Amino acid sequence: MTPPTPPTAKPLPDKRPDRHYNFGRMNMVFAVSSLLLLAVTLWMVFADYAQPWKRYQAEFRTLERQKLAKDEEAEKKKINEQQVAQLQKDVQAAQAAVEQHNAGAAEIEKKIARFKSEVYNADAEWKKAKSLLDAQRFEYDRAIQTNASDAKETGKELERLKNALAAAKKKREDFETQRDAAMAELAEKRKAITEAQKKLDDLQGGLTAVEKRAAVLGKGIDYLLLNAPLMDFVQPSLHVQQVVLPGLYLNMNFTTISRVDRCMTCHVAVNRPGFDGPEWKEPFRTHPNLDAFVGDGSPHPFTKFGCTACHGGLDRATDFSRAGHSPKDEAQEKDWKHRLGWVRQAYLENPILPSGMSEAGCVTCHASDVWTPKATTQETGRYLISHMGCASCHVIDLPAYSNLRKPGPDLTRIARKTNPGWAYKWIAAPRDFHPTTFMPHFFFQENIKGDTNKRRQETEITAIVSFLWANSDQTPYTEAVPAGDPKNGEKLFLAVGCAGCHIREDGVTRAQFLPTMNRLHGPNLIRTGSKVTPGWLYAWLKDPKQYWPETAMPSLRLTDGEAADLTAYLLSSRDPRYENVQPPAPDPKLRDELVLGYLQSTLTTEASRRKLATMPEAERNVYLGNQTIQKYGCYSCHTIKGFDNVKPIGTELTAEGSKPLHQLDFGHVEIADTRHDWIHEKLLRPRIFDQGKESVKDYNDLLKMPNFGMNEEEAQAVLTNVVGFTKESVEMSHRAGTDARTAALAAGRKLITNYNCQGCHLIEGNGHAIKAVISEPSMLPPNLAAEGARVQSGWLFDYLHDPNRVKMRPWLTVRMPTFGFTDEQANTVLAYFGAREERQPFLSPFPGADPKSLAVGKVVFGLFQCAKCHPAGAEAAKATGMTPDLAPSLLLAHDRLRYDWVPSWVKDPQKWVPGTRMPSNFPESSPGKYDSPVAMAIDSPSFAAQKAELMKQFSSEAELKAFLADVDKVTTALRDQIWNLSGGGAVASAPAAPTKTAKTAKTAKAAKAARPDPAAVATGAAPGGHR
Amino acid sequence: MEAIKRFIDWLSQPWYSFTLVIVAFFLMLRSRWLWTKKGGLTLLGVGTAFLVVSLFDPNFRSIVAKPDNVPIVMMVFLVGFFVWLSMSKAKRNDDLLARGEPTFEKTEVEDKIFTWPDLVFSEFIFMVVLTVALVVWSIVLKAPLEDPANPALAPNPSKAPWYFLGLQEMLVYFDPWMAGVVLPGLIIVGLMAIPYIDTSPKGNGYFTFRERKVEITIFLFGWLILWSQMIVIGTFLRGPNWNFFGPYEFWDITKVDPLVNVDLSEYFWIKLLHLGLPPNWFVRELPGMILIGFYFFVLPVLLAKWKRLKPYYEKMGPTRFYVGLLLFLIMLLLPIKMYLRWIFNLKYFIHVQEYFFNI
Repeated sequence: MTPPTPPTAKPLPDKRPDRHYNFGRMNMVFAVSSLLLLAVTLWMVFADYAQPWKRYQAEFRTLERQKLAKDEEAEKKKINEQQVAQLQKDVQAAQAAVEQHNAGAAEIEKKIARFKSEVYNADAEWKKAKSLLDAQRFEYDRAIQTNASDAKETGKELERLKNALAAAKKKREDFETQRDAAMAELAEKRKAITEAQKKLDDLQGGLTAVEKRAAVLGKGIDYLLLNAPLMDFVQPSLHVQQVVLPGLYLNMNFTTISRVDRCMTCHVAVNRPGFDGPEWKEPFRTHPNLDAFVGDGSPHPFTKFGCTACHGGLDRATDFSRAGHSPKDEAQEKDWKHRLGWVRQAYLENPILPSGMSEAGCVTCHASDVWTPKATTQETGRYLISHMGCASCHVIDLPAYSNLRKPGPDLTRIARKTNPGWAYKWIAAPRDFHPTTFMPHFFFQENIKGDTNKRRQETEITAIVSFLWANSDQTPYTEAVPAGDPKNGEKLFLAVGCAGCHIREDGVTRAQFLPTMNRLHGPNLIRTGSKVTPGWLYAWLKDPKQYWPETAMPSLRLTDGEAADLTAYLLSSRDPRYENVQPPAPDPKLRDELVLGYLQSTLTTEASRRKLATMPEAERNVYLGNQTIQKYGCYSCHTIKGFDNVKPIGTELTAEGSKPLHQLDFGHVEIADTRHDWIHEKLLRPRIFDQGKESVKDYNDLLKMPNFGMNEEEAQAVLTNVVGFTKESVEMSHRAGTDARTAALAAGRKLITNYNCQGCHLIEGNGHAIKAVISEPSMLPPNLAAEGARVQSGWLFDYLHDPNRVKMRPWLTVRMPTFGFTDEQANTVLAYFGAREERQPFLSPFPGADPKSLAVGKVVFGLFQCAKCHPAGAEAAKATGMTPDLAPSLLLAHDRLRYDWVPSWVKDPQKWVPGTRMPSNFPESSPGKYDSPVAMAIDSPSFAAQKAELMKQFSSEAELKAFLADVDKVTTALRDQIWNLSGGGAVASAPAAPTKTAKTAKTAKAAKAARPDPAAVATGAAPGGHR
Repeated sequence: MEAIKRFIDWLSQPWYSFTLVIVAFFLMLRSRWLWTKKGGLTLLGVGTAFLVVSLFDPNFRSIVAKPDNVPIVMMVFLVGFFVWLSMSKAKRNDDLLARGEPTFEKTEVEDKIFTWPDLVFSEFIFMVVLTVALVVWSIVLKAPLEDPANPALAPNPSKAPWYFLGLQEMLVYFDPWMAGVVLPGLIIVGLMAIPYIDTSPKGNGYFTFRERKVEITIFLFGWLILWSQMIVIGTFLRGPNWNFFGPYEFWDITKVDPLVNVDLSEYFWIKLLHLGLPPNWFVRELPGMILIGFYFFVLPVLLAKWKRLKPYYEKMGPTRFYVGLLLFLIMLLLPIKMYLRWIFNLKYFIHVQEYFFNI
């Protein structure tokens, strides 16, 4: 600030002699500065007043009023004017009638008024009496405490007051009764008017609601006054809206505070339905999927979860930029900058995730889940993270990623399976051999340039191969492989279930298999002939666990002939580029240089030189292989000898979504400075941040993350998870799945994913991947939608251990494989199905059938012709000449099914398993109400005999009819008949479903013998035998 | 343009810029023209032009235009203005005194004016104008708020409040114990001691430079170069990891400065005598202690006998002379240490890590 005119030597002409300054000029300066002060004060008020959110709220008011005008039109159209006029007339007529005929109405009204005042008076008296009583109670208590001489009198007075209170109460109640009676009398007299008025109100209800709302939204003088600058502190209609979220915390480092979301200050209609048409633009749109999110009845109500817990951003901000909106692409960024003056918030650690990545917010509360409903992108990402091996190199401390199987095969016996030449070419470029493989490219990536480095990498690969062969079991497979028929092998491949997990196609990409990727679970079997030895393949097909005990590949119980056919088929796919190749000899100079470099990290320069000199050629290769495997972390995904319990090499990702930006090295790459942009680039081009640094860094310091050849969709899916791995903390009450049920579900789902059950089965709406090769729906493996409610735990336990013990659906060519589950794994599956259907694992024994019920069951069983589809035994099959290929044998029912489930299944099969071929016999007349056709049908002359039979059990026809009309009784009767047929539930109450999990193998066998022989059932049903 | 920027970046490295500033400082004191209105306006013009032109550079702008740093830019101009104001007044008086005329203060004192309205009214106008300026400032420049403070995540660079940035800059050259406790303490003690050391009545009630050349030079050296200049360096030229960055350089967090500083003991025992460090710390640090002892205890005695200083010694008496000289030597220790660091990579004169005693 420069001072005003400094004292000058020359006085101004009009200066008064007794003044130091020229006051004419001083006054001018004063006037100008005062005006300036006024101006900036107004500016300050305006700057404080003109908040963008006020504009949005005012604009929304206008828009909503326009909408209401339209709604009003629509409501009016709905109302028939004549009808209204008629009803109004009715009301008037009724009123006139009441007045004319019942002049007593006025009388009654007077009476009511009098009684009301009496009630009021009596109530006041009662209150007074009560107050006196309470005071006296204290006096009496005090008198006893102090042994006062007048204690007795005080007690008497208390008694008196008690009586007075009771009397007052009685008086009030009497008046109340009289008042109510009078009111009822009046209502009765005016009934006609009330009813007519109600009809009128009902008709106009919608309109009235619209009008009421429109009245609230007016922009009259009161609105202008309440929202005027400096007036808006009283009760403005435009004000900051917020929701306080006590269970969702913000980490303020020294403390945590509750989130207070103010997003709805601008996103005014986010929780109100009806603002989602194309004419509604942000910020005025309704949240999509209101039933699942934000809506009051949804699992994530707005008042409990708010916005920022899922979307990110600064909860308390009421400014577009400050809230942390992030553009999804450059076009949007440009548009925002232009339209909304958007600037990136450099200090906001968790900006709002761009649209498309919102599912990342699910992870915070759904961390214990394995499959999160509706989070499709996120689920795909989870699958990729566990199957690509992200979670193998990077620790992710969440249930979905803990204790995962190593995604790559065991390499401790690799020499028995393939040859070094193939291994070399595979490591160099896996996707060249299998276009869909998850094995990433470690070598020849963008950040390693130059010829020397190319030879260095070739040397490293050869060294890896040398190490693997030096550390592998070398025993060859000696069993002779019988000559097989490749044509039959192909048929088998498509029929028995291989195709649920494997494809054999070239020129495909992983993206074609999104979002579930079930068919990429096992390797693509293209070019197998150039990869493995026939002996290995034959032995592997017959028993995968002999080669790799932890494999997820099950046994399909192939016969020697089948295995030979399949071997021949698989070996028929070849690629000459991969045959008769040898790993190139390592460049000795570069190899020694690398070896020396590793040696020097622990030894002195001289000692390493001496050590190198003592190492023979082969040992140098193996040594370098060992170091290279360590460098790239191969052991994270593969079991390799000598690498047990070595820590994975990747950065821990558990809190990657909260990682401070400055810890991410953007190098010389020009992308937006955000966490998600960085991760996105990293996923698509893992070595990109070395760009321009290739010659700056040393060879071993260059980035090592391998290239998975991800496409945009895969990268988005993985990214959506990784940015969701945050340090956010939420109250237990806000987290999903903290109970035992979710734990059981999570464990089951992990196992299901690991063994790819959905390759064949439909589970939780996903799966049936094998549909790609089996077009006939009836030939698909069963939908396991209701499994937990349907089958007995003991039966399922036995079945999982030995699927061959019984064949429910003899018509299927796909085989239920033998996975070789441990008891723990089988129980995990049982617990999962039970938890899904919320069923306890075991039932009490079948209580036995009521004779009446059994009799009805027999008749209805015939009536519905159940046996036409369900083979009910060899004899029954022969007798009816039925088609056996439609439904499971009922002889298995009592052993396999839960008796509490069968009636509800028969009642409405579609409800349990949508698309089942089981017909619905009981039409649903209204939701939840079923009709029984049996009661009518029994009167038909053709069923006279059956009716006569039944009448023996019932005392009257009415009783029989009542029984037959009751759907629950009829379905139970059918169940009783089925149990009767299979010998599991005659009228006697024999225990039907003993607990089996605790049994030893021996008793299980005994129990098996006691049941109807499944083999016999199957033979009877399908004379051709079964596999 | 790029070449000029690179040249300025190169020139502003502490060792060059510090030397330049010292040379400029002494030239400035000798100058007459600078303290005229023309000189002042030229200086203001050059400074403003430099600032305005430089603001076109994104790296310069990102630091200088930061809302936190705006007051410091103002401070630079204000310091310049007030130094110019007092010096121009002093030079004016020097001329008057040389001609044997009374100082202008004396002339002004005789010219009395009224409190009301002359004083109060002008003060009131100032109040109004200042309020306007503050309101505009608060509306236009938003408070630079960052995320909640996180103890596990210190901002990089972590900077002290701007008025302490000179002290923080001293931490580069001294142990925290020295730069953070001893030196600031002595600054306060020294400032308090000035009236007792410098009892000369000259310059009382009027501006003068000629009569107080040595005193003003010492004070301005401390104030302008060791305090203000260090604040400017600390604010504008120290980036992430407290690395040095030129005014047009990007504050790259990954910049690495070589750490090659060596203690005096190593210079003496290892590089000079090839003996290895003595195990006893006292013996090891003996050369440093002798040097420091010489500087503080022998040098003052020698200086007292120096013919250029002898008149001061005689005029002030031993107590005032030695106290003043000691304070002066302590002040000079800072530039001396800075140059030794730049030229010899000297870490500490005395480095007794056993007792955390380092100079």
